[in-house]
Amino acid sequence: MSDRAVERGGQDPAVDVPTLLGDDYEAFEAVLSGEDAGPVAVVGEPFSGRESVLARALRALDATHVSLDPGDGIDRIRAQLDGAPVVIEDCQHLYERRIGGFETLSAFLDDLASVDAPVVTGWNRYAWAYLAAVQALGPAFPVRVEVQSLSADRIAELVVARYDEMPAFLADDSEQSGWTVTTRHELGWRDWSVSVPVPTLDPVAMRSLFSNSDPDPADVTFGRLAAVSNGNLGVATAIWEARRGSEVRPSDIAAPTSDRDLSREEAFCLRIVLAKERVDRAQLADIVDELDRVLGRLARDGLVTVEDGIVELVPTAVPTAVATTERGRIL
Amino acid sequence: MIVLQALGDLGIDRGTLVGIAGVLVAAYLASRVVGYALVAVAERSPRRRISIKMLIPITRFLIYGAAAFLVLGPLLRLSSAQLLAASGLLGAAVGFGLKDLLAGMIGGLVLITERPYQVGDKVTIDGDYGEVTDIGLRATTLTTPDDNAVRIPNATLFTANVSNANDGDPEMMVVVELAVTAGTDVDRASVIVEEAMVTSKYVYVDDDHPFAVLVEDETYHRTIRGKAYVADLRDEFAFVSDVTERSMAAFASEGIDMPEAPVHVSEHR
Repeated sequence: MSDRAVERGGQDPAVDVPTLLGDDYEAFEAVLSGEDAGPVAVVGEPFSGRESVLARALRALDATHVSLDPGDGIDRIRAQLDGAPVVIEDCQHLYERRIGGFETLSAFLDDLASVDAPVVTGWNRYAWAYLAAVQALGPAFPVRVEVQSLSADRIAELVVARYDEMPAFLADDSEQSGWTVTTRHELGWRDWSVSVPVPTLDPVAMRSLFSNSDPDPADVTFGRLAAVSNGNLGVATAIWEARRGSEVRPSDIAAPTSDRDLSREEAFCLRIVLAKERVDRAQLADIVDELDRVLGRLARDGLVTVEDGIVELVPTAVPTAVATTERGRIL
Repeated sequence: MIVLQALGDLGIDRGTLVGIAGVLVAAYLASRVVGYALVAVAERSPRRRISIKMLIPITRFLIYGAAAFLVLGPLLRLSSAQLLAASGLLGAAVGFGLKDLLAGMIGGLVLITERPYQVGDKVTIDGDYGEVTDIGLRATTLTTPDDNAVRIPNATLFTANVSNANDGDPEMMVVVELAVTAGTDVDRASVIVEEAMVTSKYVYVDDDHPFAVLVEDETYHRTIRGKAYVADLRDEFAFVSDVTERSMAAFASEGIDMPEAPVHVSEHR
């Protein structure tokens, strides 16, 4: 696992790419093998494993690697677009949400149109959805693959594999555990999609209802971890790290939430950080009113961190950030 | 005493009167409680806010309809002579004083069935623009942008044009107009207005809710008209203000001149 991935609640790049891409894996492999032409957009939730998919492309194409940071200009990419395969990570840093903030992205799309070599790009899915709506990003990328949510079993397997020792799993008191879990599902129409919360019956709780034996607390715990993280391995790992001790109960598994409703300005700021994952504080200062107060409150709620002029999304806060900003219908 | 005696002659005793009063009070309280609960639920669910609020007048009609049935029940058992007397009284009352009230109530029933607008919609009725905040038995209440409550009889629906800006959807198209001098770079100005719209915190864009920028050539200036949807129609004026303010700042920094005098005042302000 890369240091940066660990810092950001990331995951082991060894996670198999077919699992991460699901049905999109075939299209992805077709581009890597040269059957189909790119450019390719790898779209995924923050911390969901885009890096693993891009690492696979890097190896298969023997490509040049460009990892974009907040504030990087087009020159950083242009230097690498010399006819050889290129893998570009974190393309959400190519735009800023302000007047004049799409110039770098526009220049990149112009350059991309004249490149013959394979180009694989990684995008945050919220940035992608925004840009697809307002900048018609979709047609520039004939192949788009999405990082899928992982099942509870797969998340359990990957989390367990990271540790030599696991804590003791204890059952919750019966009144603490419910019969339903809320998962988020994508509803899409053309280029636009929205994530909606859907309460479903908890299979583990249902099994326990119709069986004489109690469910395994470990199954319940990992089922809850998968539901809370929405199958996002990076988020699940971060929540696990934050909550694990010598003993773990299913009710210990929870994402940080705010006790209050976020204001429009706070939700807007959080949406930008959700879409960019890491953003210059100076960039936000031009966009968000009363930035100091807004960031102070978001940081107190455990949703973002602010360090050395960089505002960063906290991995465990992704479920809350998604729910809050989509409830406010912020693009 | 005389009234009580007259009612007694009609077969309406004191117990019935108390019952009628109880039914009316219960109907009033029930309509208030249900209205309050539905508003609370609607505000927790932005996507279905308007649909939920639409239930408020429907439940009020149902509650008051049930109350009317319960109240009129004793009257329906009147003898022929009593019924004749009561209907004569009712006919005279309707003819002389309650004609408009009855027309308003029928207009309210048409509102429920045809739904030309719902609670939460932004409409223009007979020249008054605002958000529909209540559809009552007799009148519809609009709250104007200046926070004035305008009560419009429901019967107006039969005689006046009704313009609905969102037609039950939470999204609403908002038009932002800015003027630039004739000699300026209008292409760049259009791009600025477009980017101001799509970067706004209030904007909502998808295939069904596109945005557009139009340019109109006037005698001494050019008008740039930006059209986009807001996610919540209550943000209409905040969106206009946000886009206008940031566009003007960008015009100033890029040397795009605007006419000295104001050239347009929106009819909705």
